[in-house]
Amino acid sequence: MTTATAVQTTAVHLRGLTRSYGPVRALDGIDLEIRPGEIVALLGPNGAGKSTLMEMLVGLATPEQGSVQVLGTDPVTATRTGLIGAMLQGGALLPDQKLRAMLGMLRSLHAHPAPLAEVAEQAGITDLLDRKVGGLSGGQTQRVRFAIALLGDPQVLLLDEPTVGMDIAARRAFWGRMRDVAASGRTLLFATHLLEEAEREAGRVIVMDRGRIVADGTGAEVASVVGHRVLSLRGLRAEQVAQLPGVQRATADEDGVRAVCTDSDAALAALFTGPHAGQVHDVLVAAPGLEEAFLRITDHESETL
Amino acid sequence: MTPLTAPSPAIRTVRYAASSTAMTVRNVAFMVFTIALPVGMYLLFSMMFGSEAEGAARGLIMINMAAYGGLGAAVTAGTQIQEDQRSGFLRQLVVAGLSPRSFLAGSVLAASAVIVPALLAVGLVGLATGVQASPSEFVATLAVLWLGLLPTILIGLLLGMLLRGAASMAGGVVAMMGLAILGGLWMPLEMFPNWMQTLGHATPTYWISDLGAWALFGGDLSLVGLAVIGAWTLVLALLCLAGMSRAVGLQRR
Repeated sequence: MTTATAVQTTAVHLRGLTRSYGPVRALDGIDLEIRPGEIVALLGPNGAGKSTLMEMLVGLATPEQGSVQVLGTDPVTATRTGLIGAMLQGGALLPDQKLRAMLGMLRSLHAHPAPLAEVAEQAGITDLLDRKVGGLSGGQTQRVRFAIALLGDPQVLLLDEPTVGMDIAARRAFWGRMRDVAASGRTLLFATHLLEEAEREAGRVIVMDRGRIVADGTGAEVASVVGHRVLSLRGLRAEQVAQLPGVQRATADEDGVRAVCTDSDAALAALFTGPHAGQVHDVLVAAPGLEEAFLRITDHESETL
Repeated sequence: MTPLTAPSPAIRTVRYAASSTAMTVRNVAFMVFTIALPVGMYLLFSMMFGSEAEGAARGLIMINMAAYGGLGAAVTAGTQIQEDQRSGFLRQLVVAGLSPRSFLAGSVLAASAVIVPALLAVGLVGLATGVQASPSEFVATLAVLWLGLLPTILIGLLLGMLLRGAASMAGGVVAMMGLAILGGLWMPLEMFPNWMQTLGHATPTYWISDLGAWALFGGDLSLVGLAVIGAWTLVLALLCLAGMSRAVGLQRR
């Protein structure tokens, strides 16, 4: 493929995807473009539609409406030509087989498989190859699923909740290996419900909720979708702070006053040029974390109750 | 960038079948069970009845026990292969590029391969214990049995699709016993009441044994037998294809 077409080709191109399972709308009109080489986190609570989306990208589920393209082709062709690989959530394995035999079987089916030794090294399972699959721990099994995703040497790599069941050390080791794989220029799309993972590992965070994309941008951008800054200070009463321009509301507790600002710059200017300038101390302006943004974006408790 | 090339479905089918065969053959319990049981029964029956009909009984017992061994291997392998995939492993195979149809074809190929040792073992023990057969008759007999066992493989696959876990294994045993008894593999069908004989004539196993005897002893080729086996194969193949698209496990909910 020439450079020109490579630029034109998007890694993942989704238009108007819908899919229902009975009364549940798993996907409700998804439009998404991912460029080659992007590292994208798909963030959302359980049931947001992340897994269904991933299944559609490898042809395991079909949309009722809309189109799916992977590197300019349909998902089934993409799997058969080895363009895309996936680490499926809870992907079943063959418990009675030796790991080497099971991986050998899958590897033999791929269009242009990567060397087994290389994949085993990348996934950190070299010392497990002669073990029975059924005897592996949860974390080891996740590494095996990661290896399965790498076997076909794919350009687009999907990881559905890759660190589920791993402790913190294993998680850190996993992302270390993952970064090496991503450094080879592959497109990477991973689903997670861990905010910190999405923010740290992905250049782009897509928040899904109830089958829709509700936010899309860098971790910081997604956080600022909410648009607010939090101003905390001491020395004033909450009512006094609430009077300032750009402040939406202010609350007080034993640590001082916390104000949610729509325009923190205006609030600060008014604070230090106004009559309270001498009383106020310990002023701090903070952007809400991705966690706060995420909770706010996907908060629909009040609607459903 | 990698060009859009891929192995043909046929090549993928064969590769899957090869891996699947290797996995089954390495299953010691499976091999012992499918070989030792029919060989042991052959030895027992040929010791008791082998010299009847001037020794021709020995050849018939060999055919029936080889068919029984093949039947056991076919049904068990079919169920086992299907069962593995039912757990969801098929999803991994599909993502690796295997189509559900290739998976089905590959499963049939693999099961066809793993019934060969049982057929060969009974045949060779038969030859060693006095069955009279020229090399070509011997090969033809085993080949006819091997081909005739195709519908029994499909029965195994279908059971694996329809039943889960222990139920599929139990279903396999019941199907195997039923087909062996009604097909007259253990005892001549003539010893049973009329209604069982009528039922027996509708089983593929009865005609597998009949075709095997034709290959070994000569005589008229039974067209009815070919038709019965053909009909079983056709119907079961259609059921497997239908079951595949439904039970393929591609839709989780």
